[in-house]
Amino acid sequence: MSTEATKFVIKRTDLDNDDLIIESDSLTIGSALGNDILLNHPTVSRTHAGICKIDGAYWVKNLSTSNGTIVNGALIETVQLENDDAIQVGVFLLKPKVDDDDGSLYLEVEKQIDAVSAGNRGTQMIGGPMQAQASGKTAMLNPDLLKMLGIQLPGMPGTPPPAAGKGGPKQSATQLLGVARMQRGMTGLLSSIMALPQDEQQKFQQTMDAFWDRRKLAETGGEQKMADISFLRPNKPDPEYEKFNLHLGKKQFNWLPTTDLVRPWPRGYLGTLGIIIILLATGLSFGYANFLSPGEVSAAHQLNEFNRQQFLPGSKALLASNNTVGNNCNSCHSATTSMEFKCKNCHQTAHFTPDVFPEHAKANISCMDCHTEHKGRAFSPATVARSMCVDCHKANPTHPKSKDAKGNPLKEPHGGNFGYPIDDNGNCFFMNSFTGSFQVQLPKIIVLSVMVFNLSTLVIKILKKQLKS
Amino acid sequence: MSKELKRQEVQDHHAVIQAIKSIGAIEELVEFEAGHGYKYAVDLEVSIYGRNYGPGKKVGPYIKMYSYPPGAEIIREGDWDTNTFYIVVEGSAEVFVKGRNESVATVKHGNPFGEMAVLAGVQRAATIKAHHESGTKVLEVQRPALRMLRKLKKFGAALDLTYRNNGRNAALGSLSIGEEAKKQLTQISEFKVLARGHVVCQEGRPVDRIVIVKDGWVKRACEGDKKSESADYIGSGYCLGINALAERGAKWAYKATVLSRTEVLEIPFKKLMAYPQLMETLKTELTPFSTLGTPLQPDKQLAFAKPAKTSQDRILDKGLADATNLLVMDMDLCVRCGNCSLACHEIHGQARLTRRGIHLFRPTMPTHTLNQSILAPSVCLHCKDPECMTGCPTGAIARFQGGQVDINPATCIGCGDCATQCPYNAISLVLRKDLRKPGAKDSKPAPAKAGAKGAPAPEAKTNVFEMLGLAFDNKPTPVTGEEDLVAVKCNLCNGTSINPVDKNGQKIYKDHRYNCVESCPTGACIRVSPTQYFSEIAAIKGKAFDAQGKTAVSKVNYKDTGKQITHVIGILFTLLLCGLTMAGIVKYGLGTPLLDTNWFNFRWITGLVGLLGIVVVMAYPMRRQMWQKRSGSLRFWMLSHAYAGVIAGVLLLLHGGTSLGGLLTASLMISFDLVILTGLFGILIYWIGPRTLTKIEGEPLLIEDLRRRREELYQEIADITATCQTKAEQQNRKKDFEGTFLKGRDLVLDTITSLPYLLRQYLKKESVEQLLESAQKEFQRETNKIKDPAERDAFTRLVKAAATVRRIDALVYIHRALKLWLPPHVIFTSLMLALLLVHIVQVTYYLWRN
Repeated sequence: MSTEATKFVIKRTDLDNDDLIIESDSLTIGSALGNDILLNHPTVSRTHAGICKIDGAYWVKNLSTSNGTIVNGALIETVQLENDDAIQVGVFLLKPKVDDDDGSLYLEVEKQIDAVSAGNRGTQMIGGPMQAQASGKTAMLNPDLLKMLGIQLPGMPGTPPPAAGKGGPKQSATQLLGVARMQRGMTGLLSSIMALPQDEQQKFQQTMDAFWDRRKLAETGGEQKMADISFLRPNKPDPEYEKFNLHLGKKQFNWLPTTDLVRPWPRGYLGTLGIIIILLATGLSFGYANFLSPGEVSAAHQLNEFNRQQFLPGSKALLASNNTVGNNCNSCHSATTSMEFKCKNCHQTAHFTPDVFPEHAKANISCMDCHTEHKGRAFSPATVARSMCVDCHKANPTHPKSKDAKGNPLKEPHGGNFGYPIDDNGNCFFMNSFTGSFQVQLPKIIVLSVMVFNLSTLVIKILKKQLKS
Repeated sequence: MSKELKRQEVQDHHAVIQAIKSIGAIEELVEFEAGHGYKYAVDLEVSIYGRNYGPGKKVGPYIKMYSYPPGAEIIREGDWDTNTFYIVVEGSAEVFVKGRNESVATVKHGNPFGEMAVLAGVQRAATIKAHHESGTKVLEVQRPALRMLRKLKKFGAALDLTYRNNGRNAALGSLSIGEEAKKQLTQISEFKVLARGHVVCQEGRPVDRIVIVKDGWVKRACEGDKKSESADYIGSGYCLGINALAERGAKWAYKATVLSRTEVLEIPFKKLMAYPQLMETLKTELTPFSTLGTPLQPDKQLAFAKPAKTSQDRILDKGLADATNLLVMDMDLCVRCGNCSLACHEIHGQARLTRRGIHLFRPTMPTHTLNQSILAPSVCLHCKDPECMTGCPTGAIARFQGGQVDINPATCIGCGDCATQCPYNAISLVLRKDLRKPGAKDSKPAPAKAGAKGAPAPEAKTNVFEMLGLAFDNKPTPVTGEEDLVAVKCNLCNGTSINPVDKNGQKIYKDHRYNCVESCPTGACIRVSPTQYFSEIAAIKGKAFDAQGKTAVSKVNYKDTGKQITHVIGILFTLLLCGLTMAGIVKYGLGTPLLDTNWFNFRWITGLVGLLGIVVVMAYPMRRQMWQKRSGSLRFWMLSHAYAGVIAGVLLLLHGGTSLGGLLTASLMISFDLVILTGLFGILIYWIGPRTLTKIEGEPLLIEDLRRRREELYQEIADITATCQTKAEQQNRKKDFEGTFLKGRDLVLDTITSLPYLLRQYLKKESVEQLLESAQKEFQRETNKIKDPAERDAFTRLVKAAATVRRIDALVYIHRALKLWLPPHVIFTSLMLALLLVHIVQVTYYLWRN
């Protein structure tokens, strides 16, 4: 005994498709994508029922463990189909009709408003469950339970059916269905397969088992599609969802978040860290001046207690103010006065007036233009100022203030001879800014030869030292 | 519309029933059978009275009666209101079309109008107004009722006929044949809509008809060979069985099955015989478009290499080709940041996009190998033929303005039917109170009250980190209830603030934006038309309906030109700015004042331009906080962020010169360098990470899935060992077991958990299958030592599980590396910015006070 390949013609009244023609040896019905008849509704199981042709007759088998398949108002496991039976799969009603010409099965699928009305119509169409029961098709209901529910059934199982379409307890069909549902799993179900001899039954069962294989296949996505499912995909749902039973029933469509919805970094980083650091930096700028300082100030300006002797030994000069700079920014930089004023405030002595030359003043050159600071502890603003002279007092000077009072660019002083006026404690003398001695510019050849001489004496000196040691 | 033209509902249910009775086509609905009651009692109840299934769960009434004053507009041409149609009960209605002032037709008593838009889900084709003198009384029928009415014989038949005629006329209208032939074909051809699995023709049977595929996909296979080898796919614009015109008594050379909802035009030979002239016309005019060959020897344009066929199979099987608006992610570019999902969450209140879904490898060109890894995530495809719409009991889910499928929360009762029916997991249910009101800008829905009613709310924990905003956000809580739900799904960001509308409901901007696409930092996530994007699918479309002889594939460029242009501009800017600055410093020096000032030098130039660069760089994180507004695609921001970062980095290094300065400038420079280094690492990992992942991961998975799977596998390894041990102890083979199985297991675990085995994952780039196979081979010796066959099987499973664990480790490390650089980048940025601020204040202050 085996299933035969045949043609199924499916008419969907719930969709605007034309008749679906399937040529196969078995037909599965369910809500999963792999089914031949896809009935997508919460009341339909993933693989709900199957139909196949055996020995020229069509059989329907229930494959759903949770929802059950109802034929003519009663839950079934395996029954033979006849024309105009009413197969109820969830809210869908399937009406089979066998084509006499080519033996194909015509199935009309209709969707009901809800499961109750589906059951209602299913039973009405065949004139009540008793009639179906009498023709040996449906389950026998437990008479005790019926009595308990106060349902009266005319006739006994096996007695001839009442005339079709007339009489019968149609009003109670819904109730009957309810009873049938309640009974399922408690009393076991009778179906026409039971009427067959034992060995026949077994053979049937084996043939029908093909459906279970198909069902397995459908649930894993089919043989060919197995490769699509990653081996790295977890088998079980998130334990968090199991806690709320979110993987079951209708709840599986509840909205679920993923970790994608957690921002990659807390937004407080920018604000909080920023504020902390700004506060820290401001605090540091008061407590630890070097923090803001672009470079160390000169040794004299670093002294906490002003000790004249320490940095200008033998000097008779006395500063006007005994203020210590002490590496404090505010000693020089001030919001209220200019730095020029701060300089003058201290560096006023009997021998020294901290005024710039009138020419320099005219050119808007202030103290700091020559006496730079923040160049390190060993850096002396006083000495370095001399080197600053050459920045301006040369041809093509680079310093922006290097213009004379009339706005003309400066020229090489003294017709090119080296030497600049240095005012030390009020005494003015000329001195080469590099060697400290007055020098007259010589022709280049002489300068070169002197340089060569100097170099050679240096080399000789070094060689001598080497030889001595 | 003025007030007097307002319609009025006729509340009398009895009048509605009478009206239904008076209309021949639907009178069956109120058929009364003596002794049985109404034949369609339930349907009738729902239609006219509605049924209440609980609070907020009223279904129906589907049929309402309205009376329209003379001249009142009932439907408007071009509207997307595809949820209702009308049947004239009293008076008549006049039909107007654009461009003509007088009515072109009248709809008389008993006739329906507007039903085609409902059936096909398209815009209204005409404006219909109540008669200018008499006015009209109509029945307004909602879409769910159509399902019931179609069961009625007369109405169903009439509807079917109209639908078929419309379909046939539309198909013939665009068919590339002469007018005369079209007229004749109207007489003899049949328009059919076929469902998935439908057998169009069986191999070996005589060809009895020509089948012209109007829309959809058909799979051809020869039974003789292995199915998978010879199957090929054809799309719309091809004719099946055309060869039988030239060759009498020809037989089908293949079995053809329908892959998704497919519209065809069938021309039966029996009827065609009567028109010999037409046969000739068809032969000469259709054959050029329909040289198909057979699956074994396909015509040149249908011959594809295996990779292309694999891809075609996957795309068509999963129904991706039937999407009208498909979201795809190029996994080579996807940095797994989840910003698409987050953007969706931010704009809708609940993310409607999950980065799990249909994965496929496809050739970028039909001739290539499978070199592109594509993920179509779980988000609505806006299917051509939406499955979700068939079940809705209230008609809340429908096509709306713009053609997108959306759910009207006002009528949704949260039954979840649409969610069950969606094959792509694109619809989910949320609590009605969490639903964001349209137009509301509140970025966070009210915090969900914990637990069931009456349960005490958990004490609010005060956490310093949380208060300062330093703690990571909590994952939103899942919807756990079953009551008072409403379904939500992707609506293509229509009606959201990134596609704003003016007072008249007209779009302010011409182009349409999607928040997920806008928020993708790399351009991996794009919305496409599948038949254009998938070239292998575009290639199987024929030209039979291409009346003007144009190429069927319109040239939509899915190359990211915007990104390329940004790259070019970025590189040019970087070279130009850095080069000019360096040249300037070489020429003028860093500290030499310029432009007749005593302070403006190259230190200032580099500093200020660098600052500008930092401003541009910081615009990116600002943009990332903007979810609700249109603010330019994030991928352009990302690129400008990277390029501006590089420019600022170079310039500020030059700005520092050779000295570090004080502590402030030193720490500023160091933190800035760290920002740049972490950023460069980010660029590198964004480049390498996804490309490595796609090679070794197969289907892209979320990191939480991978971690869960790893836990499962650890459990599995422990379980296998425990089971085998118990069994061995029962059989008194404890010693033997310890010597073989346990020793082997320890060796396996030691080898696999070693660093070289991890690095091997990255270097060898095997697929998961290859890895498992090679792992099995590697430990073959240990496996062979085990004598018990069941135990040996268990050991093989253990080896596989262990190897998979290491593969997951390898993937998780990349996933983490893709995110791990970000916190230091951000922390150093905030450090750098704060120091920078102090530095700028200091410098300007002392410049001013010099």
